[in-house]
Amino acid sequence: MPGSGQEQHLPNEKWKAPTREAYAYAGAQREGVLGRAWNIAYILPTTIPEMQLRQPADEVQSPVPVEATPAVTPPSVEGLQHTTGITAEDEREIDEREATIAQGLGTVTVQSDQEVIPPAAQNVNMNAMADRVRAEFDQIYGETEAA
Amino acid sequence: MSLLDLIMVPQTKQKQAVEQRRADAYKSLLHWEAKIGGELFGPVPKGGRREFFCLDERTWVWHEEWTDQAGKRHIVTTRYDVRPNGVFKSQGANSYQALSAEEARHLYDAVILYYQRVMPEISRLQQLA
Repeated sequence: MPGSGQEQHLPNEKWKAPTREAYAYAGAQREGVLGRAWNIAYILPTTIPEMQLRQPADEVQSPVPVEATPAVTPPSVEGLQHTTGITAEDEREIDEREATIAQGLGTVTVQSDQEVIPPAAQNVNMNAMADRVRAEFDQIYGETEAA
Repeated sequence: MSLLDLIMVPQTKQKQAVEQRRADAYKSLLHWEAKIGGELFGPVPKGGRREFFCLDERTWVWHEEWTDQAGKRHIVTTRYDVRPNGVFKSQGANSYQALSAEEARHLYDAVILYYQRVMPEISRLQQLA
């Protein structure tokens, strides 16, 4: 996976055993989540028939409309003020699931009337997000067993 | 302090330490996935930041930061809620909106690429213990 940076960030056999165990456990948890997420997303073309009318994109584009500026542009926030196509029961189910998510992860603040904040963005200092991620991995990466 | 306390306390602390390590590892994996996910859509403009990740089995999160030509900083977090009858997205307060077919297609493509790039490494991690 060239360019992803994972080679220098994720653990390897030289890590301390407790760290390896923790990552193996977390990896199993994530594999379960991603597997279920895949199964759910994979049937999207059948639940949204219009998707089948279009050939798959040659390259991945932003899921949301973007402004026409050079390179990559941010999602548009226009036209998002109205709630459409979702029932009160749907809202209630979502709220219940969000509460479960927030309780389970313990790192994500999720409320139906608030913007969802990714775990890495819990602090107000959003500019430090990438640095924080790198620092966390660097810290863990340093926990190698003595030769 | 009873003998039982002397025996149990260290075990409890040890268990807490294990759980904490696992929680930290989970968070680190999520951060890593968010970074990898952000790279799926091409280069991020200078001064910008992008993350895209799977929060749970039905929720995908897109986070974007950028500075416009006037120098104003923008931060937008979008959540995609994949439901049996379609995909809904929310941005900001109290706004759920059904995704168009085209947007759903983009999300679908992104999910496929995300899965292809992340899963092999996630699987490898389980063999380390």
